[in-house]
Amino acid sequence: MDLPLTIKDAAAGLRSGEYSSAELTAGFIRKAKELNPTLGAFITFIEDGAMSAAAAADANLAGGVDTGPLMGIPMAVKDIIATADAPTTANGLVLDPAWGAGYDATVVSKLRAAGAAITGKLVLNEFAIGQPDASKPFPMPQNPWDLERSASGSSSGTGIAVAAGLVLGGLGTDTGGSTRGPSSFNGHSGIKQTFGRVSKFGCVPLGYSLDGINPMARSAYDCAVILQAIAGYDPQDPCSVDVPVPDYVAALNGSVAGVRIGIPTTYFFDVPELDAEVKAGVLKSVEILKAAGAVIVNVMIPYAAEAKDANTIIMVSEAAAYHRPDLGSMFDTYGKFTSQVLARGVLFSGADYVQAQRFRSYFKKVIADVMSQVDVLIVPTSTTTAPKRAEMNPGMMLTQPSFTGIWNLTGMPALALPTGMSEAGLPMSMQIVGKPWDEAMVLRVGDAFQQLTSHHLNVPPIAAAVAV
Amino acid sequence: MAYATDAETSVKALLTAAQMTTLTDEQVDIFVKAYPTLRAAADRLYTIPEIRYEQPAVIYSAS
Repeated sequence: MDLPLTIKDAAAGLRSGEYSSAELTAGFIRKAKELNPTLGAFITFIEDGAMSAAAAADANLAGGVDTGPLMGIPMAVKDIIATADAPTTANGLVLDPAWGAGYDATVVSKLRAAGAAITGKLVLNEFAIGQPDASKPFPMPQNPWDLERSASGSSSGTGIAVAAGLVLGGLGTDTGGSTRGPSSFNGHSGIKQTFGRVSKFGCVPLGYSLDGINPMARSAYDCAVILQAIAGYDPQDPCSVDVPVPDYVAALNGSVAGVRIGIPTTYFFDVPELDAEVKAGVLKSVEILKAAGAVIVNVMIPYAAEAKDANTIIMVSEAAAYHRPDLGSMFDTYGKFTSQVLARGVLFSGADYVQAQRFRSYFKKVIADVMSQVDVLIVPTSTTTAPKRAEMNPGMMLTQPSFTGIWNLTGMPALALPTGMSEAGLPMSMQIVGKPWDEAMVLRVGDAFQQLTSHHLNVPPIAAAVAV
Repeated sequence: MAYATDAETSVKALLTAAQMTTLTDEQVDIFVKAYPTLRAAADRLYTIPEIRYEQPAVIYSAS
């Protein structure tokens, strides 16, 4: 069978009787198992559980019961999120095997309630930080567009699985760009929603005040469908906020007429590390939106570089508090790149951490002033396309500009989506950044862009060649 | 009083204080090389005049 590319198409196919969820789910699992030895996306397959969920979806369809657009849809989750039917490893040997055993994270419960068939647990950079370490007994994630290149991280497995069509959607996490980076390098969509919108209960923490569990899928539309299912207040997560959840899909009206798009005149488009093709791809995309009726506004964001640093200090400090006992006793049990980054947290002082949080308060006001002039911002997601893995090292995180962690610092929603392919055949990406709690506008602009373009439907040749 | 200000002394003291005492010289050296960049990033945040009287973005509720 020809597997559908999007959740939207699959949901329609299920309802038209083109295929059953059992056929669909089995097809995606077959494809995932065939490509996983090459791509390194899955740590664990949950075949029985997924097929049971598929059978339940088919029974619902036959009985006229519809639990929504995720009913019978094959999905997978980053292996840092607890699932009752499979272990959680955080892609490492340090996490207590008993952690998360026997229960579902809130987001997983919500996906199951929506009828999703969860096919497995996905590879990540250990504990959602650092880089893959080939000396550890976990699959090595490979970019499906070029196996020598990085799939980014930390939600590398989810990025690979979505791009290669091993699932129709998945969950990543994001503390400094871990959802949007893989979306960028692998060539699909991924949204970091407003901090507090989605429960983190049942997820191993990295940076308590920055983390989020996020939708990753081929299109903005599909991200909206997933976010709809997982959003909402959860008293089990102290960071969860009790605010109304809008109808995200209903907000996708295909129009950007009159939408004010802010383009920062500093940092995001003028750092020397920004690749010219990536920059051109973003600006060309802005022109497409302008031609569709959007209003372009130049804005100034002061202290953007310092915001990246503040995010890093907060992230590694919070992470070091969680990991310090294990770093002391099991330093070499961590992947070598994981420990190198986590332990940076002990090199900062308590005052440094508080100062970063004071900067955060100030920067939030700066950005609020900027956002009073516009509806969304558009900036690149990454400075470059996917680099060769052999050329990467954890030091790059220190010295390179980042366009993603800034939005973790502010807690604002940011959607990464493809802007096209580079001359070398690698995906390029931009972010649409919105006001706090206004994911609906972010998704609306992203969906409108994707109705005018087809970059998000590009499939890596290695995945297109597989028949199931 | 005279203080040692080199990165190696600082890093070794901080790692020791954090009870990370099993690292090899090669592992410690990675942190020593990164430390000036890390320190500079933190120090820059103390030079921003606008946050001189800002409250930190940490939340605590007694109830």
